[in-house]
Amino acid sequence: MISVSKLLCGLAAAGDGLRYDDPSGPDQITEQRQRKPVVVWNTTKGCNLYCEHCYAGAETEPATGELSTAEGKRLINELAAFGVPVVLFSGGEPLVRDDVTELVGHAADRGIRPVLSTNGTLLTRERARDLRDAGLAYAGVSVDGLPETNDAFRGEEGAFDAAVDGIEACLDAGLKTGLRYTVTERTVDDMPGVIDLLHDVGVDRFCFYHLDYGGRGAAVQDADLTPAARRRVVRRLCDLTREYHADGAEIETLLVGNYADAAFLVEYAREELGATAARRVYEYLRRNGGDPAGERVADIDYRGDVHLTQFWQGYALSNVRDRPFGRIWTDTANPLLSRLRTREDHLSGKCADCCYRDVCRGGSPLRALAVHGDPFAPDPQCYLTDAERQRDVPPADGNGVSEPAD
Amino acid sequence: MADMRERTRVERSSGDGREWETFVRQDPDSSLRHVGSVTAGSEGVAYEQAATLFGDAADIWLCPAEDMCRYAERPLCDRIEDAADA
Repeated sequence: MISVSKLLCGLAAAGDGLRYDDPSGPDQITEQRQRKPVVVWNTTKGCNLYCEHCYAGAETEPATGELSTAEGKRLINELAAFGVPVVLFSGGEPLVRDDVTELVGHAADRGIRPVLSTNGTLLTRERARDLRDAGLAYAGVSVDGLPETNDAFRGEEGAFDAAVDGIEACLDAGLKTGLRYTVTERTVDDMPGVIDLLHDVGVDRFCFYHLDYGGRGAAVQDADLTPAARRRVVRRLCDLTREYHADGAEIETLLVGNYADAAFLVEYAREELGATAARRVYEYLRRNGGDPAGERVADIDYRGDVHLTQFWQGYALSNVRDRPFGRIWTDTANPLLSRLRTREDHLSGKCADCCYRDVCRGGSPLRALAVHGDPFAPDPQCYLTDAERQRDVPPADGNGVSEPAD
Repeated sequence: MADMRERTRVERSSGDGREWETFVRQDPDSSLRHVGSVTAGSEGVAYEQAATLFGDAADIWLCPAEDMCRYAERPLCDRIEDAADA
């Protein structure tokens, strides 16, 4: 997760130099706590919608074998004991489970920051208030385009309006609420309009996800952006963020799921803000650690299987019903887990000698696996040019004032 | 002496696809090790998937997850340190 607003618009703030970690965000946690993963828990496979790109392959009915309420609480106890800082309650649609508020409250009581990923359509005012009272720290609501695009993508007419109602319910309850938006060929043109519309509603946090090739996402690869289009949309988001901030609207914008964005942000800063800013952006992102699969993000599915990321459902390390999560996650006798954690030694192709491998770490191993049959091959979504991959990094420090690009 | 440890049989529901427990022997002298599971509709696809993830292993064994009998000393349902809260 890369905070565009923080990196491009927060740099001028006095004393902000070494603070990339932001406790107000669900995934931007302190450096010390980041040693333990953020855990995405797909509490159910059931969902009231049927989205084209669902990585979890959710169905309209819950599947058998879901962790029970009691098992879920024991799992949360174990996650807390292990030091997990954040649990993202996801699905399917987590709100189809009647006990989600109870589980959120249990996590909060155990000192875990509970956050929610939802399609928003089941978020009534009463439910939003209950979640707030239980200690929910953040609700991320998925919308993929303006009404026509979103409803087609999500398989239900009226889904957009219902999601906006849900967002308003959260905001009225005083819950920190943000947008989750998957950028594909079908949704990219609506992006500025959705930001405008939801900013008017009161949303000030906007997360943009690149498509990963897991679950039904693997079947819609043809809707993914070309590298050139991806580069344009990331640049547009950088420009938009700076325009909003210049107008006094301090929106938070984030990019998720493609660490070529990290390298691009350094390039963008070098071009637009100068070498000193670019160097600082580079240092923030190098500390941030690149793609988090198998390290800073873990996934537990509805049956308790532990995955390397939420998108990588086709491979499981083990199951929390058999073994505590902490033991599964620290068992580096697993050769794949071990290689992912030392992946800079295993990257191949153009990644092997890329100057940005410290901020990107090869990008998504799942996309590389899906396209090249090798998780350590280059991420097919990388859009850096050959010249950019051969830069001198970190960018040579300047004198702190705006200067032309290299 | 007989093993006196108590274990509970862990039930496992099948997921959306067929799950294959995966074992590898990293080199000919090492023991076979459980390395997780892959989801695939057939043995052939399961093997392909395992081979892409553990390509440097000497041997790869696969077993349908539903054919495994699991007995654990402390499965989640019995890990009750905080039973009062659960």
